[in-house]
Amino acid sequence: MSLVLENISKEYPGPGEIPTPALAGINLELENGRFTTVIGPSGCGKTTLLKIAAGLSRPTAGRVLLDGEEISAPTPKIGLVFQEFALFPWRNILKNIEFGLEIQGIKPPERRKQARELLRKTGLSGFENHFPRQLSEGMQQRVAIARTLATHPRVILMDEPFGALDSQTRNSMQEFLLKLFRDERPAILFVTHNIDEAVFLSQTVLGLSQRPGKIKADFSIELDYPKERTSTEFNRYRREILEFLDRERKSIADR
Amino acid sequence: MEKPRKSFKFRFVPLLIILLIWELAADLFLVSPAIFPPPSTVGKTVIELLVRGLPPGHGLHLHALFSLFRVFLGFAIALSLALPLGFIAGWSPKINRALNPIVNLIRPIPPLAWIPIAIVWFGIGLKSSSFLIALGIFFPVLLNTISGVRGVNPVFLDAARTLGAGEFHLITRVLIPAALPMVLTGIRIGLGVGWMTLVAAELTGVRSGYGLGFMIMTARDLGRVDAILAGMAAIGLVGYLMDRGILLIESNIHREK
Repeated sequence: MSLVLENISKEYPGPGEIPTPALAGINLELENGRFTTVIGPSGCGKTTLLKIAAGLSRPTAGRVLLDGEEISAPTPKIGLVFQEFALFPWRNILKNIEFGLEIQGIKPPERRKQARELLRKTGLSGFENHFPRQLSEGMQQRVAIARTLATHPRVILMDEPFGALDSQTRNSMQEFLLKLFRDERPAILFVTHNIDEAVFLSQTVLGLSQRPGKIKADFSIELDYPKERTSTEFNRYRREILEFLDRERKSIADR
Repeated sequence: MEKPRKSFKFRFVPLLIILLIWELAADLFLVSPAIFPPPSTVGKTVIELLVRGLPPGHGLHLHALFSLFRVFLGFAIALSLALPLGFIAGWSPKINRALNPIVNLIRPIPPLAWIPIAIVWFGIGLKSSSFLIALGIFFPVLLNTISGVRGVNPVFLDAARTLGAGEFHLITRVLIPAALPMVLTGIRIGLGVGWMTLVAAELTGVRSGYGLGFMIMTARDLGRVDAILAGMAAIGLVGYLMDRGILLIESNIHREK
């Protein structure tokens, strides 16, 4: 299974009659078992890119293809994990995870079984009947990931999912995500502005330019999992990406 | 669980103090018992009204029951109109804009100002009072439902869509539960307004001969100040209990959040 973004551009209605461009000519291909990260300065259209890939937003030009078929609406085959978790506060943890299965009309005993299995896998057993706000942020994001996994998406889009977490929780969540990635082998498109996170998680890091977002750089991270955060090679990649982001920032300042 | 119980103890102390002062004032003849009977007399009257009734045979509990029946009828009418309309207008900005001028022109007219026209249209009786109560409840419920639906965090809708939810599931599984707390607040405000409207509506007359407002008017005609006050106390108590009931439902829902 693959998700292809073909020549995607997006403009928003701007002040007056002039539209504001957010993305310009993005080409991107995601495959099962590939972990791709998009990094870029804030306001470069990363969230817009994910919304288009998820089918939540229509591009002004270009196409999104899932296994060759054009996508025009969200589908449970493409999961999206939000930075703000977006858990339903009126549902307990188990029912949050069951949501996608419930929509598909799977009977309660069966979906409960599957949700319990996901809880176990995400280390949340015993919290079935808690409500989201009773959990720490790290746990809430694990619930959100479990909820996304419940419908077995082959593509998982993640919008700065660990951005709100403290650095220790963030590290452990990264390891947790890599374990899921190894077990399930989905295609992951991850958005972050954290260089360390990008290098640690992914096989490919794409550098997005300032608005309107274009893919300006393509870093192939040739390190085996699990990656050593303090190794020389790891730091070399970090430096490369940091230099790219600095160049991007300066090009804006000069403009 | 310990805290609420503690506050419960102290909550009624000021009320008791006021009743005590009232009682003493009447006993010391600072005010005439004929126009301001003490709480002990009013209490006795409540029992008399329950047992014998005013007019005889028309017990206080029956008056309250008839009043409640009118409120629930008006309540049902108001909800069955305000809830669907509120959800539709909350969902569609276009409809909301179109509805706005109508709502905002009718809303400032107090329900009491509708009494004369209600009597012309529906005569004196159940239809008239239910109409007035429905009017009182309708607007708070409508407005709170609209803002409840409009206030639903769009990220919940996006999340539900990516999990495969279509329009039907978005409304039943996301919009309604997410807006529910606001809707309940509207219902609570509406019930309060409706209850107040009802008693005023009953003052103009009822056909069945039952109703708390009607009973107060009867008491006035008979010069029974104690019965007027007893009726007022009953109106206050019933209104208070209804409010507590909704609050209880509300806090149960909030606890889940």
